[in-house]
Amino acid sequence: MISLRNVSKYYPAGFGKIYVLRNITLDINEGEFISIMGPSGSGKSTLLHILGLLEEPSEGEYLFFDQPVQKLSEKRRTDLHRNHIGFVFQAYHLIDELTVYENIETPLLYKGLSSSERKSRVAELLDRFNMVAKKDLFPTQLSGGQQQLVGIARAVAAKPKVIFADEPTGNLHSDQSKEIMELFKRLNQEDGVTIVQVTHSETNAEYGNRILRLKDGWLEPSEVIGSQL
Amino acid sequence: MLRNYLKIALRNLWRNPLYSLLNIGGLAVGLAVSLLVLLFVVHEVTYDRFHTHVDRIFQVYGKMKFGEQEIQMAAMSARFGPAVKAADPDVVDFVRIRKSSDRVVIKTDPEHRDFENRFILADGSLLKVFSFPLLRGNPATALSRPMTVLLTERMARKYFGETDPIGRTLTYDGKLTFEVSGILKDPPSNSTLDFDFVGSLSSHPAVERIRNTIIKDDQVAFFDQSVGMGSYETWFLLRSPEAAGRVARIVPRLVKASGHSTGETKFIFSPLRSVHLGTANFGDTANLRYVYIFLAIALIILGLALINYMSLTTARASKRAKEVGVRKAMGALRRELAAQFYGESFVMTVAAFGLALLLVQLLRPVFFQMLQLRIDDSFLYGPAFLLTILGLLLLCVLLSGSYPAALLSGFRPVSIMKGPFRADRRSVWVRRGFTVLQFAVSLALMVCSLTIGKQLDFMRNRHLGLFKDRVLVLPLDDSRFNTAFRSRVQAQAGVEQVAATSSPLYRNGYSMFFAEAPKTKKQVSLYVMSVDENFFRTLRIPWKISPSEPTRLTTGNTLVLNEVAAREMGIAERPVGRQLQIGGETQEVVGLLKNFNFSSLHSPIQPLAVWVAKDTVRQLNTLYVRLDPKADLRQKVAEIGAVYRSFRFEKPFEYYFLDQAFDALYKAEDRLARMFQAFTAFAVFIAGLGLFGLVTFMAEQRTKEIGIRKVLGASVAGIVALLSKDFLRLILVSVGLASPAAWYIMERWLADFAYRIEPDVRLYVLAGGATLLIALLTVSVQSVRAGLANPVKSLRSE
Ligand SMILES: Nc1ncnc2c1ncn2[C@@H]1O[C@H](COP(=O)(O)OP(=O)(O)O)[C@@H](O)[C@H]1O
Ligand SMILES: [Mg+2]
Repeated sequence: MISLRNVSKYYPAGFGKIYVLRNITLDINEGEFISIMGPSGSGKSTLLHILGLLEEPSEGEYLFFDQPVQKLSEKRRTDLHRNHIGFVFQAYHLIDELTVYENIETPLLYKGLSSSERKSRVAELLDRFNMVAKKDLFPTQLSGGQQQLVGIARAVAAKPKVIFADEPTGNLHSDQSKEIMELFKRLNQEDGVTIVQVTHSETNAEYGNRILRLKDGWLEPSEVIGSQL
Repeated sequence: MLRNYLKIALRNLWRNPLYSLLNIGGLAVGLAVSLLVLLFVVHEVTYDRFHTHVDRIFQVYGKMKFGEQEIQMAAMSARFGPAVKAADPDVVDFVRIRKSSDRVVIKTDPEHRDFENRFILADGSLLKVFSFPLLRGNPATALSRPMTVLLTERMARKYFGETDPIGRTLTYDGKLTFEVSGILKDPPSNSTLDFDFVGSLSSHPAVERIRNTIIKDDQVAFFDQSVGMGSYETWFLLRSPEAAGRVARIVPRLVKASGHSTGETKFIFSPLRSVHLGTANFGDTANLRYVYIFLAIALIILGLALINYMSLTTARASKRAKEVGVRKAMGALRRELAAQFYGESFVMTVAAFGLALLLVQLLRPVFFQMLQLRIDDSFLYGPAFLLTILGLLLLCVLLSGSYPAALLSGFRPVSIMKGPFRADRRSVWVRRGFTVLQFAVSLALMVCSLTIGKQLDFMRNRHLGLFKDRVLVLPLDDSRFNTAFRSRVQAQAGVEQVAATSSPLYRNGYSMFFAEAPKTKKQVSLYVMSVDENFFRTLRIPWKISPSEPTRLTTGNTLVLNEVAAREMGIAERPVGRQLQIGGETQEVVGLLKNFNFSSLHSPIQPLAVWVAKDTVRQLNTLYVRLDPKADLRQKVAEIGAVYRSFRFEKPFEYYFLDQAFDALYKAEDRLARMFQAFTAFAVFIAGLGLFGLVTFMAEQRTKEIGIRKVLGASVAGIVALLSKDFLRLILVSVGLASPAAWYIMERWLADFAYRIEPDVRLYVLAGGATLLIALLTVSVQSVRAGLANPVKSLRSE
């Protein structure tokens, strides 16, 4: 589904350039649950943004469902964001002026669903995430864990093929982390959503089926969590 | 989707009350002021458009040369209109109008008696050519008989109350009786033709005869058989607008045929549409200039308000950046986001508009009174102004939304996913530019206000070469009681001196005569007035060369000149004893007056010839009463009024003070000064509001930095300085930009005055200082608050 060929990313610095990612070659299949790990500043977020089509690689080739994304028009790219890709952020990034209900509804609005379709989809998610009672609250009235639940509900609302999550539990304590991870696992196994997450915690990484380790922009050989499969 | 945007817009409004208040309030004030000004502008440019035939109505002017001067006159002879109509089938109709320069006294009964200065005489075709609806009476016959009159509604009410005026009579200057034959709707305020009474034109001979009882029939203007210049404004209704040029060309032939030479006179047909703004005929473009000045100011104030809005909105961009990033990651297109921010501007602007309309209602009476404007209420609800409002709303929505929408929708999602958003440098610069612009405009306006005020003061307090304080002026009727009345006034306690002249000073202007310069034989124009012997003493006008034999002053074949007249005539060397040809008579110069300003200070002192007459002469019908400095002015006026009433003059008692009349010459400047003061206040207010908002947000954005600095030991003063420094620098830049601009504009304005102040650096320093102070106060309110905040609190909230 996703395939990177010799992808590099650099930023200009003075007269030279600073490489953040170097020569990354990587394949991700549909239905995988991947954890990206590595020390701070090793390029994890950058890699995730490239995968999520928020940033463009400086060199190399990126195929998303066998399509080279460098050549995609703005419209096609937007279309992928609307229908195939979901994001979960470390800082949740909910829209403060919208209620829980409205936050989850927003991607459906961009997708262009009818009002009744939206209503049933949001109701279904609220029910599934146990948030029915909180649907009219604003993000600031929720705890961090609850906010991240809303963030995930929002990410899966449009039924994406893949979810990119950048340190989704970085601001949460361990009970809440566990809940989120269980949720990801269920989404992956029951709904077949491909998940790519960045995490610092080995425990969280274990929820996935494969761990990618980045160091100074280099990708180390991936390790498969084979014993559980 | 739209609902979603609207919801966010409203919640944003609600959640940030201070911001919303500053933003909507500032915009509303700006809009209200521009709406008021636009009301005036639209009123001006729609002048006379209410006439159904506006495009086909033309007024005739005669343009002629008098010596060096070109003079334009609108008064034609009685036969002019009929002759032109008979000569050309393209002329559908004509209207002759006689406007009187004098006020008349209208009386229905002793309780209903007053001065009226809008009594015109006109042909009955007035009702056909123009669109002045007749509410009562028959339009076909209303003005057909002599001594009939139409009243406007307001006059019908004033003189007849609730009773029916048709068929009733009123007296004109106590001597003529007019019968009311109809009631007209009040002419709208944007009508060039303005009247309260329309008498039939055939009444004119009777009116002329009360002024001049011995006039012969063939001297009466109405019976004048010539075609040419005369006494009547003449308007034509043509079959098509294009016919005007051709009709104008046949006029000289008609004039010649009636036995006159057209000489230098050119006849011009000027379209009604452009009469008011003076775009077609040369000369008076004062109205147009005011329209431009006002329009410029409306745009500036509106611009300031919009800039304010944009700068406050984008200052909040950091708060909205996260939302933009998230929405883009969800697949929002840039134009969808732009639409969202446009929507928010729309909500804000509409709210501001609602508030502005309310403010307009509140401020309108004050505003119009201040600027001495008269605009009908009905005009406010007319289509022209409603269209203006709609247009302005559209413009505001478009403009106010444009910059924020472009800026905010352009944020790249990654840049905000990676840690806290940092305002990009460009938008910071734009905001700085906005602030500089706002303060520069405020400052320039402030300098202009101060300069105009100073020039006004200068003119009012300038020594004029005559004594104008405590001088009561009484315009009288030329009637047989004048001399007796005069001696009674003279005898009053507290009256120092009494004098009389033929025309009131500083009121209507003076007659002009041409005299031949003895050496060059050139025609020199002289203003003339007749005065009594006491005039020079009463107004303390000094002699340059006093008459050697004072008795010769009043012999009837002598005159005195002012210094300018002597110079223009080329006789400055030895003026006394010269014989001058003036008004067809030979007169000897017997004295020379020092120059004194007898008209406004716009122009330098003009040549003046003064005839001195015995104080018993009738046409000296303006009394000057100089009062004792110790006298109570109000009480003296009351006493003299009582004396006046005891004489039973036909005219009601009327007086003014000479210094007030002089001040009134500067009504236009006074109006300009007030206008600038008001606009300056608004501009400063809006700029202050904007600055306040910006500082608030800057302090908010830097809460954490301020907290850390305080923990590290920064003082409150240090924090205030930190936050204020940047803004104060901007204000200084504004001062630098605004000063030369204001200097240039005021130099041009002052160039119109013969007597003017010189530019004064102190005014600039004063305005700059005031601006700086206002900015400093605004900034410090917020920055002191930020400085005083408990650092622990702000750090924990991060
Ligand atoms: N726009 C940029 N310009 C220059 N350097 C950048 C930019 N964005 C990220 N970097 C650098 O790239 C490196 C990797 O960043 P990131 O992918 O966020 O690391 P991680 O998420 O692993 O902590 C960091 O050293 C960061 O400073
Ligand atoms: Mg990161």
